Amino acid sequence: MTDMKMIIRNVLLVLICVSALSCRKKHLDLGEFKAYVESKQNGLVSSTVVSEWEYKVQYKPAAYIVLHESGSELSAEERSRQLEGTAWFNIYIKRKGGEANPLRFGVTSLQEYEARYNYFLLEAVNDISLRYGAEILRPISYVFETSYNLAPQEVIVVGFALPDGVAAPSEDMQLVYYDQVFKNGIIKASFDKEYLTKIPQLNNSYE
Amino acid sequence: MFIKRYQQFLYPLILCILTGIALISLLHHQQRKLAVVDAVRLFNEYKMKLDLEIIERGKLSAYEKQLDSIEASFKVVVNSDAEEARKLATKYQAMKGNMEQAYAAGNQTINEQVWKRLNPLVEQYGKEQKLHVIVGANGMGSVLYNDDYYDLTDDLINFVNDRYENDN
Repeated sequence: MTDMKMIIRNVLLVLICVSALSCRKKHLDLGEFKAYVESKQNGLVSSTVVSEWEYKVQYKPAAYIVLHESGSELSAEERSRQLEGTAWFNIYIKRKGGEANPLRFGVTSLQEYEARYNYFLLEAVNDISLRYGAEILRPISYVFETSYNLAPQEVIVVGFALPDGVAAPSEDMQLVYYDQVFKNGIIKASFDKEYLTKIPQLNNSYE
Repeated sequence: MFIKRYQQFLYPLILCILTGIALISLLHHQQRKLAVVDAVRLFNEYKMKLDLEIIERGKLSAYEKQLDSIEASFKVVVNSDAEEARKLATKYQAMKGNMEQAYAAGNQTINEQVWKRLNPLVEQYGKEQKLHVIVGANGMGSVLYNDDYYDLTDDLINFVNDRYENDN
């Protein structure tokens, strides 16, 4: 009888250990982590195609941002702490076949080109918002990373301050962008909390 | 020898097979699927249209506030300063004209952008549902009658709204 109790106790102990281990976030190496974040299967990338235009929205976890920064005076840990309470995205805009630079596509005059450029530089920020849970957030940072017509896509980097007390996104998020230049309507990129809360961690040796 | 023995069964059997093939082919052609969709409801209940309306309404309300402000100023000076009242009346008319232009431009924007998004989605829906024709009823008499069996309006509205909220 005592043996039976001991077996049951051991089995339970093993089960608890296994479930505790499985609940822990995975740790990935640098390459694996980048691939994980950039893979559409993991719910951190959203892509919308409207006629011949493609809008790809990439959610960037803090570790992913730190990975791409070089020459920072802050340590990776300090920089990660700095990014706490914020959510960052890249919005990529390109022609579906990548055959032309978006700023130049279909323009008939220099004025038209400049109007587009100025819009992305100064005004597009007003057409972007983030629904976090039930709240609507406005950008705290916006950068238009133009490729100066060298690449077939344009990139917008946009950041939001999460509600007080939230270190990293744990609610459903939806980035909303109203495209006023290419007249493709409103683009919505959804990110489920299910995916946001199970983002693996980067191995410490790389941070 | 074998054929001769079963000849009396063979011909009816071949006839049966041929009839079967003909029936299957006929049924296949009869399965060409048709759907009727209320195009006005589809347009009006598409969430992007509702979102765009809110944005355009916001732009118009800025004009409305300015018009109200000019109107209030006009009431103050109308009996005391004829020159100022005339200037304000001109300004009011110009502002009203701008507002009407903005309203028309907003409507055009909504129409163009909504159909730009809806058309490929309707096509995608048709392919996914293996439909051969989707008829858009618009209340102008193009569809005189259809029963619920062919009406897929609700289903299509759910489809396009789901695509809008969850990436395209």
